[in-house]
Amino acid sequence: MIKALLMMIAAGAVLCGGCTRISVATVESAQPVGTPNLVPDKRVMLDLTLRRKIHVVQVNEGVVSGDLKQVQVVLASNMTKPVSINYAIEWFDENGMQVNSSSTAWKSLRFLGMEKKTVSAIAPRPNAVDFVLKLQESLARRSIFN
Amino acid sequence: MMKIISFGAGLLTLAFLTGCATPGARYINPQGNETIVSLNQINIQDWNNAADRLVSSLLESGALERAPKQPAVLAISRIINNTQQHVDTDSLTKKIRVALNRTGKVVTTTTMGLGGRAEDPLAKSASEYAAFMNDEPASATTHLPDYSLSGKLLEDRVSVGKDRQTTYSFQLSLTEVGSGLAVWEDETQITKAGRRSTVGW
Repeated sequence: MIKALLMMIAAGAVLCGGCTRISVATVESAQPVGTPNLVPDKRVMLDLTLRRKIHVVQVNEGVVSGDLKQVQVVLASNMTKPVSINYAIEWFDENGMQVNSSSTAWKSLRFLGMEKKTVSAIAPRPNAVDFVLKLQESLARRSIFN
Repeated sequence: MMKIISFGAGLLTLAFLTGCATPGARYINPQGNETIVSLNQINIQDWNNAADRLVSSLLESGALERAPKQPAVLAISRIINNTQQHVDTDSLTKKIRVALNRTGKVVTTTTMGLGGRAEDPLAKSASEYAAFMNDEPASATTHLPDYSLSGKLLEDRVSVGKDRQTTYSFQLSLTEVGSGLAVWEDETQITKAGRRSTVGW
């Protein structure tokens, strides 16, 4: 009985282990010269596990190449161990219709402990004016033996 | 009691190993996160990611704003594949062309290509025929490119024991045809590490 319990605990330790806890320390200017154009945002977080691991610090926007909107979202990890997430940015025109874009493809992002990272995207067309950032915890992976 | 615990542990292990796997063939989103991640080749998400990063870099650089005319005419030059795989470099360039075309800042010529070969021979013939009928030189109906896009794909593999790491580098240059100067250059790298390929990421 005790042996079986010990084996289960050991198996749990193996499953949960292997994640090195290395937090990221930062130093920056106390009075940054750049003034970000902050965007008030609306957040819908359905995944409580993801909410516990990652939070949105701020959303900036600007214009590049003359008339293309650029957005940049600063995300920060709440965890002391590495966290991987996936994200995608969707764009919408002035009528609220979704605009096809390569940034709609999901991408992966890995945070070290307590690390801040930015994700950014440029509007695919000048008439793409609104965006939605989608976040998702990394999927459980299934190995392929080849 | 012991049997129950063993049975429970077995079930738990099975649940961990199988997850939500569906062994049968099914459709997945090519832009989603259920695609296969393999260590020995460039996957669809790698092409998407590299093209997206390079297009963003080009637009952020402002090089296209300084084009002599809008939209600027782009020609696709040589993209050298120095990886161990046989890949069609259009997997990268077509995505970049489409994204730039959508911005309205660039159009790509399909009647002028590397070594005089047109991507669209019919369009080239029709253009030459129209010029002939109008008593004009063949070049009169051809738009000379303002820019040409060239680049290189590189691969770096390293392994320690069973751990493998592969880095793919995507290098591109945008050359102003008039001056012969590269007005934008960038490189993006995608590194994958692990012991075996996986489904989902």
